[in-house]
Amino acid sequence: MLPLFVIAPLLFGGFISLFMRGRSHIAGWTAFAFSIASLILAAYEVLYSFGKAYSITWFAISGLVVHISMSIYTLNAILLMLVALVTPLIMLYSIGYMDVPSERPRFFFEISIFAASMMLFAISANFITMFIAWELLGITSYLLIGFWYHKERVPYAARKSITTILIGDMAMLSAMVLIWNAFHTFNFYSIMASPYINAMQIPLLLILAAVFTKSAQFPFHEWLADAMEGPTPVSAFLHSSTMVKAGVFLVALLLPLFYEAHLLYVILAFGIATAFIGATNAIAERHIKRILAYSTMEDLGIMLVALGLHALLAAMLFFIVQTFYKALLFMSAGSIMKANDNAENIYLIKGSTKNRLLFISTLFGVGSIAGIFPLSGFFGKVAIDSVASNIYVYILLTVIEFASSIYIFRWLFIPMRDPLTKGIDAELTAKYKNIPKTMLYAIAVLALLVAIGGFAYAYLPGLPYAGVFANTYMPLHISLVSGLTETIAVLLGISVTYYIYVKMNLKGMSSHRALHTLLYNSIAVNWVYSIIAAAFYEIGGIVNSFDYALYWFIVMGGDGLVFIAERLRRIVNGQINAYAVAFAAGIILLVIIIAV
Amino acid sequence: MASIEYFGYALFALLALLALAAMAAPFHRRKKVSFVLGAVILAAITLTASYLFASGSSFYLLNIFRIYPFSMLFVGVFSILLLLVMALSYDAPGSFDSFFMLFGFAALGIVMVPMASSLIGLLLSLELASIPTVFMIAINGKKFIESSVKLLIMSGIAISILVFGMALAFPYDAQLSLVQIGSASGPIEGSYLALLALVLFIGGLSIEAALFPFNLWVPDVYEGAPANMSAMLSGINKKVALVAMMEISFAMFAVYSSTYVTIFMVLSIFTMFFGNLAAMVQKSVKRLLAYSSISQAGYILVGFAAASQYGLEASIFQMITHSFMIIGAFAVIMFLENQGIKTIDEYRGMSSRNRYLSIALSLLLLSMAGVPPLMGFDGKFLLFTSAIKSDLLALAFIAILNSFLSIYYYGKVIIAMYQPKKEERIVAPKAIIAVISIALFVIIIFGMYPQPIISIAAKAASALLGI
Repeated sequence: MLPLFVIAPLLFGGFISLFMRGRSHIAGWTAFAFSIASLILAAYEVLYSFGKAYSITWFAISGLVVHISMSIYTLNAILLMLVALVTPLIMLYSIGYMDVPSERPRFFFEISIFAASMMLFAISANFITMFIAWELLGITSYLLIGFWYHKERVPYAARKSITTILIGDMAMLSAMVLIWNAFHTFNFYSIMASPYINAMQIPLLLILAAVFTKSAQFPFHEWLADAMEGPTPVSAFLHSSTMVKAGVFLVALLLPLFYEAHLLYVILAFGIATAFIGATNAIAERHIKRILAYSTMEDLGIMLVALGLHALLAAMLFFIVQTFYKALLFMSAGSIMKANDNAENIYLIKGSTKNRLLFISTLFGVGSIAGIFPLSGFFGKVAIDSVASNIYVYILLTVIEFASSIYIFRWLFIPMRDPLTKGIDAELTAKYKNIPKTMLYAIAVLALLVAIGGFAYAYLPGLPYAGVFANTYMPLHISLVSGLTETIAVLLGISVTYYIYVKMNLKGMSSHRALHTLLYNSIAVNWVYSIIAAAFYEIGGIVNSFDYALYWFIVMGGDGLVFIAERLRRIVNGQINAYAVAFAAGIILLVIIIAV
Repeated sequence: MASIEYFGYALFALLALLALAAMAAPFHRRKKVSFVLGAVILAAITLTASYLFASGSSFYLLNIFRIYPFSMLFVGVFSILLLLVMALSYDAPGSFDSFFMLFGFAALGIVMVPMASSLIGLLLSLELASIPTVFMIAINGKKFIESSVKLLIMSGIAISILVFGMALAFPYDAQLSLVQIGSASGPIEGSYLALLALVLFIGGLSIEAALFPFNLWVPDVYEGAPANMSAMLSGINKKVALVAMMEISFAMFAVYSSTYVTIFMVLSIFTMFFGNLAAMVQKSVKRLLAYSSISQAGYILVGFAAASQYGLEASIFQMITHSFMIIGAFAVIMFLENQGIKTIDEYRGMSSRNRYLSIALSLLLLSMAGVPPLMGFDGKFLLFTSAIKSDLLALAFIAILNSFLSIYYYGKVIIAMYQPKKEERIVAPKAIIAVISIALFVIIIFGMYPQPIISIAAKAASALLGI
């Protein structure tokens, strides 16, 4: 079966739910059912077509043949299964979450297309197919981030994301042109199999730029935190298996090329810088979802660090476990917000312990993100620590782990506080009880996945890896020293947080403190963005004046053409004898052409 | 006799059945029976033709039909298009029985043109295709007489010129068969008589194919005829003339290709400019579409001028594309015309009248303008690439310039339709919606995934060129 069919149910379900304006209460269930169908097809595909590649001719023009190529190799299978698994959970969660009936059809349509494009991305085996999926991801993420477009800040957040992503798209397109010129093929595996040429460095750097915009790496990371304006299921999806993972996945797929071009250190440097920025910002942030967004940035940074260390297996292990815990945490955040009347500031959110199922599941997620043995996050993080041969990288990673345990337990502890007055407390308890069941079930399933995700550690090394340099990848192992160091760092982080936020019951830090400014550098980055934007705006003004001159030229030309057209129109005067004369003239014209 | 030939005879029998059904229609006077019979026969013709096309076989049937991929492709495509036009005409004003009789004979002629193995057969089929068309326009009422008479006179001129051309070609090949005349009777390079014959053929066929300056009748007739007949004239009859032109120039006069390439180039440039410029100042949407269909013929000729495998492939692709686009567009026009909505001014606020129709017409017009991912884009892309491949850079540039000009008038209609103006809703009949939906489906699906059409066009083109 062609892997392309995996996305067919999702596309179909998306369009069906779009036209369910009258029956919006079942739109969600429809989309859910079709996403289950996609999951079944994906599982079938991974079981029975594993290790196969497919190619169909999209179009052949004058000798130029463009293919739609797909493959189900190990990396494709991992991402495909992750997306296929998470999509139904997201749908299930959204059924409870979307309480605005009139917007449901649009929501489930957009999220189905979003999931379908990520699946297409997962199975793509050449740049053309990948780029189609890449663009679809960009445009659907824009629509989803801007879903509540009538709210005040939302359109700006959506515009910021699409602007950043479009920069990457341009880079990707230029890279594709250069690669075509060099290899005359778009197929990933043919490119990796052909001898390396020096000119590849520039396209690879351009691809990295595109990856950094998609995966929100420094200096293109700010859109991710602003993307929190979108509905929570979208954030859960965007940060776990789709969109931001696309960039990291592409680097993993093309890792042999980056290795040969000696660009691994670039990936490493940007990854570690982003991880650091993400972790520090998360400590100072107060918005419940933005903390998680900065945490995602950190996670993606660490994945790139692992890839920069040429440890594909460790990166993929973290890739898998991060999907589950990040989806879980976003869903928990969404549920807690729902019970607190959509309050976003963690200092205003109360009583997160009131729903036991929710709280226990959240604990799984928090434990996993901090890296507590034996939850899946532990394996992911320690596997990367264990391959960090460079001592500086190792120290930085440990510091980041310490920071991440601080911010995530801060995220956990502060909303645990109960409201001071009894009346509000009872009201809040009722609200926690009223969280829709579908949301809680999705969270519980994810908690289970988080608990058992560590088993991927045992399975990953046994899988076959395509690519010429497969045998030079760093092996996957967990050293005892790294495990102990990590555990100590995390426990230290927990105790510090517990002391500050539970024992001392500290209020929020003043935003004027120097420490806060140092940690929360998001403002500074945005300031730089605005300067760059202003510069481009100036350039745009100059271009605009040229454009205006051109416009006048076109208007004049248009007037001239209409003048000619008016004359020309009169040839057709309705007189058949005139037409016969024209015919005779035409024959004479043809004879003259032949004669000369 | 090979078993594949039985399918050839089956095709022959189906054509005979079509003629019988057409003759019977005025006697039993049952609309539904005629329609179903016609639809079934046309569908059967399509299936048989596609089987013969897929088999790739090439043989002569009774010495008058030539069965090979090129002819079978067009037999199949024309039958589908005829089916669409018949569905459009079912609810049109006027008697469907007499319409169906004429339609059956016209269909017979249309389907036989690509299959004809000699000039005589070609000429007769062309006549069979065009004479009933004249009456199909006229039977709808007195106001259509003018355009049908214009069409009749122009077809008369065309046929006389074609016969004259045939007489000039006679000395070179007494059989008048459509195989290469150079190979039939020794070298004829430099023979002006043969060249004159070629010029007369191209000139005569240019009338039906609507190439400038032979096409001045087109706007009058398309506008004056009922819209379903305009759809047939521009969607099918024009393509029939282009198919005949392809067969005569690329099969019969292949040795003169360096000479007639110039003719096609000049005709293409003239036709594109005439169609696009004159369309800019039109007020009636139907007339605008008539001019647009003229300019589309100019684009198709770009592929003729390229005179290569790629060029013909692109031309065939664009011929199929344009047929679906223009039949879909005229279906919309036909319905609106019956509601008394004709000029661009009256199209204002269409989107509030009927959302589906305005979306459909916009997409069809955008496809004609060549906007991806619609099929019109693929066609133009193929055409211009083939021109560049054949070193006709200037022609490709002019064609691109013309596509740019065409946005102006297509955009004018689309803008008018989406201007905010509240109008009462109108509901289109199911037959029209069905035809529009089929056309839309084709241009969207094969716009995004053009390879099936490209490969069948390539197969037909190589069969025609004998590669």
